[in-house]
Amino acid sequence: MWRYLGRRLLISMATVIGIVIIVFFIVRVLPGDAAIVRAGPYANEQKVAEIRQQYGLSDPIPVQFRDYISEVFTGNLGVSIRTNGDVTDELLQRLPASLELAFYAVVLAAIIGIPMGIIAAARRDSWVDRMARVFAVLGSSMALFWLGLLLIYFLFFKLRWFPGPIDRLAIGTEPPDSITGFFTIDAALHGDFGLMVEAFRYLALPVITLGFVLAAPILKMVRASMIDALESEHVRTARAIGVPYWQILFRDGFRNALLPVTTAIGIVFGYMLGGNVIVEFLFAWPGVGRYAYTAIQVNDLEALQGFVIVVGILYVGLNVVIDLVYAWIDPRIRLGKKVAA
Amino acid sequence: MSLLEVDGLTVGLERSPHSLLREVGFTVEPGEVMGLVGESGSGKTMASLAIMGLLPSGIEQRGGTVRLEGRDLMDSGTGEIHRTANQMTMIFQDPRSALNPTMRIGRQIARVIETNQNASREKARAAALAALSHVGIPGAKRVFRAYPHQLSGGMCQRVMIAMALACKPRILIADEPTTALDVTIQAQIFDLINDLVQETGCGVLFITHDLGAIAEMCDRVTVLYGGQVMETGSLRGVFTQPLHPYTQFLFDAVEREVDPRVEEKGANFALAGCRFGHRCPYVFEACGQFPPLRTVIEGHRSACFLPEEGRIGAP
Repeated sequence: MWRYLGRRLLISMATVIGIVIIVFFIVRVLPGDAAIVRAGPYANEQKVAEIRQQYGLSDPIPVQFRDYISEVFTGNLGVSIRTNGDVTDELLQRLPASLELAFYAVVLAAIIGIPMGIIAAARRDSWVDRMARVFAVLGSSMALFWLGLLLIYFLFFKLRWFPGPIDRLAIGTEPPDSITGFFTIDAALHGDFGLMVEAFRYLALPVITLGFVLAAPILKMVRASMIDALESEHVRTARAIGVPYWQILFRDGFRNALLPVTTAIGIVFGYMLGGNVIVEFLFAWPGVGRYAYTAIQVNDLEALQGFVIVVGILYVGLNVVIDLVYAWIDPRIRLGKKVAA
Repeated sequence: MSLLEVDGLTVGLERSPHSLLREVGFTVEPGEVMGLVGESGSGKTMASLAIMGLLPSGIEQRGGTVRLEGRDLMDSGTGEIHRTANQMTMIFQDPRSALNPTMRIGRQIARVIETNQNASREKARAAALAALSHVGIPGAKRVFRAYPHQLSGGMCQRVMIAMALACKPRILIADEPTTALDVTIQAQIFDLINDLVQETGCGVLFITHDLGAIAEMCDRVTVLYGGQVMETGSLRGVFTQPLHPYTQFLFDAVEREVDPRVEEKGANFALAGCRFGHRCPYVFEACGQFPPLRTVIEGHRSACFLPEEGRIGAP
């Protein structure tokens, strides 16, 4: 167990170092010139050269690399050429918004996907199963921006059930003092339930958009691995010795299907960490995805670099958590081949 | 009245006209080990799963009855077999994959007792531990807390037998219980099954492709080929005086060279007549029809037209 965990952590650290190095080079082969963008359309050659000097863009690549490495490993991700702000601060300020959105979206996707997958597998080829399969196809072929627009049009514009896509809270509402950075949780911790409800109402549409689309891969994985588990030999044994149906379904079936399901949820969550740019844009969500998108547009190299590194570290962290969950789920990982008799 | 009476059991793939099992029938008496022998794909396992009512999805039962102590186990409405674990239980070929990998051994046995004997959790635990010691597992307490992957294959099969024992079944179906195990373990598992029969007087349906194991374990034998019963009778009768050409070739395959006229071909499930017809060197017109099982000698039945036609040209 401890060796397993140690090995996972070691691999994770190597991965982070790899990310940091690769990101530097990828960002530098991007086309465009940040200094020209920064200087603006009316700047002359001299002004551009000054900016280049100021941000170290004219240094040779090895020198830039050395500076970059020494900065990154002291937790300094540089200065945004667009806002002139500290990239680390700007990212950390936006990260909770993205994480809150991702968290609720994955929870919703799991709430839809897991029960539906279980029922679809238990009642194969029934109408529930057929509906689940239609849903899976729909979810995986649905364009996020289109579904988002539909929801905005009907649920906000026509029916006014939810607020419009402007931000995490209504204009003029003070966010709660930050404890976790999740507005819903912070508001609840401060006992301000009105604020909590407001935060949930603003979360609703982007969360539904993402949750619907992300439920599809989870549903597919739950269904497939449940079917595998229910057709396995140990389930046949359980049926032969007269174990009740519900116990077979959950203790013998779902419990043994958990490993691939965990993987699916992990992948979906990882995808959410960096991939919800579209939804953040559509709903004017002040998260890191939108920050990165803007950074790309103006060639804001250090902001982009910072984004990729932060998401990379989060992703690696997520994988360590998933590995821990694996060990908790599966005694074969937890205990290894230690022979008892 | 026989303990278990299987009659006319017919099973096939959904949406396919051919039958994987055709009119399979045999009986098992109390305290008796009935051997079900045949090559791979002959339908041994399919027959046992059908009797248990555990046919995999996509395979349907088309006819036949399964009677336990004279009572029909088949639901007349749904055509499904309903039995309880203390009527019939089964142990499988690969004991390690037959156990739940995420559940401790003790719990797996205890829940059998909980569900089949309505015992409390505490009582079931004690009974499970007793069952483990009963099947000769050293250090039962440690094994009780272990997971299946921490045990050897032989140990896992003992655990399976302990589980079956805990059901107190009238019939135990053992589907190649030692095929996946070392030869040295085989004898121990056989002893265990024999002890079980001695103690409880249950009947055993013993499935194998190993004629040696049949000779060692069984009182009577049923020979299966291509989903059809070829011959059934006492161990001595079938082994010393095989009536069906297929049985004869089966023994030849062990002892000496097989008649070169018997080609090596897989079973043909599309045959309307005798399933061995396309390989049998004695085949004649009558074999185009399905041969029913007929008593040739008292207690010894064969599904072949040769004896009655007086054509038996057996060696």
